Amino acid sequence: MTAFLPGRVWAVWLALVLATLFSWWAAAGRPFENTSAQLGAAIVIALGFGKVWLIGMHFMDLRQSPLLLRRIFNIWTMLVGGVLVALVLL
Amino acid sequence: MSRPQPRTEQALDLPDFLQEVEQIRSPSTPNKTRDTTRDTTRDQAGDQTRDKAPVKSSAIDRTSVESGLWVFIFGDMTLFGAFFTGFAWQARSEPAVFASSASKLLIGIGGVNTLVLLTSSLFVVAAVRAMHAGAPRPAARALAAALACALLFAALKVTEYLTEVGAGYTPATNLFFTFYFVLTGIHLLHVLIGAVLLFSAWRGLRAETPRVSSRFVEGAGIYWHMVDLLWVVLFPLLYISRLA
Repeated sequence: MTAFLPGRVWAVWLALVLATLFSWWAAAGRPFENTSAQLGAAIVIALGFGKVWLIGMHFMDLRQSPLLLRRIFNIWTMLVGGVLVALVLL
Repeated sequence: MSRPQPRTEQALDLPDFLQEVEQIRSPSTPNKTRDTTRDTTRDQAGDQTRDKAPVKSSAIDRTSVESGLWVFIFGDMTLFGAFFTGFAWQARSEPAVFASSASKLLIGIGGVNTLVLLTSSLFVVAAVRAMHAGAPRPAARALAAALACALLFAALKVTEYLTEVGAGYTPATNLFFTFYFVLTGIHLLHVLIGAVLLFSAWRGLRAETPRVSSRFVEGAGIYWHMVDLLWVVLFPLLYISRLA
């Protein structure tokens, strides 16, 4: 069944896994404790919305969908992601 | 007694509308009953649209049929977006409570569950692509793998709940745990609905003659990706709060 998966999809999955491992490490290891915990939380949340965008474009196949669907998805991602990052930072 | 009103050119009755839908669904099928004058106008408009945004016919086909599904998906995402914002807003007013409560969560289970859902999404992509290639058997195997991931996620989540409740943390403990149990509970409900959809698709594909369409598998797949996508935000939001 994996024969049906192109290299692009594998690359996206790997990027999502690596981003998750980074977030996990950031939460468990608290590497931002000596600098800025708020900045660390904002980075991890922004990374989460980067993962959301990858899932939408490459798993939900929105990159091949009509412009309207892509626009709505991009607006949701930027709006919700932007508000959450702002609430953590400000 | 009133006389029947003559039909205007702008009015689009049901048979005409159905013809339109059929034309979108099967662009290659010639439709001999259509009015040629109106066709020319529509074709010109269609050319202009295509010039602006080139889109594959399969994408148009899927979107036209699944427009109701997309309305539901975006509606659900908007609702969760409001929940996320409410959580982040409240976290600002009680940062110490939120940070100390988040540190009580089992981040190991949260992290593993994120990887499980991402992998399940990969299997769902494989299933949809196998269906497009006309291979229902590999598609069924991919759906079975995705379903196994869904059940593993639910089992781990229930284990996490039991551990937390056993340690004395319930929705009534404080505002953080209220958000935590409500948000993850609603998400778990979505997981279970998604699992039912994946199971239905798998069961239909296992039959001698597959009983589910490629479209149903695609719809179930899009729903499952949304479940994955929402968890991808919930994980940093709930478990990373300890950073702040």
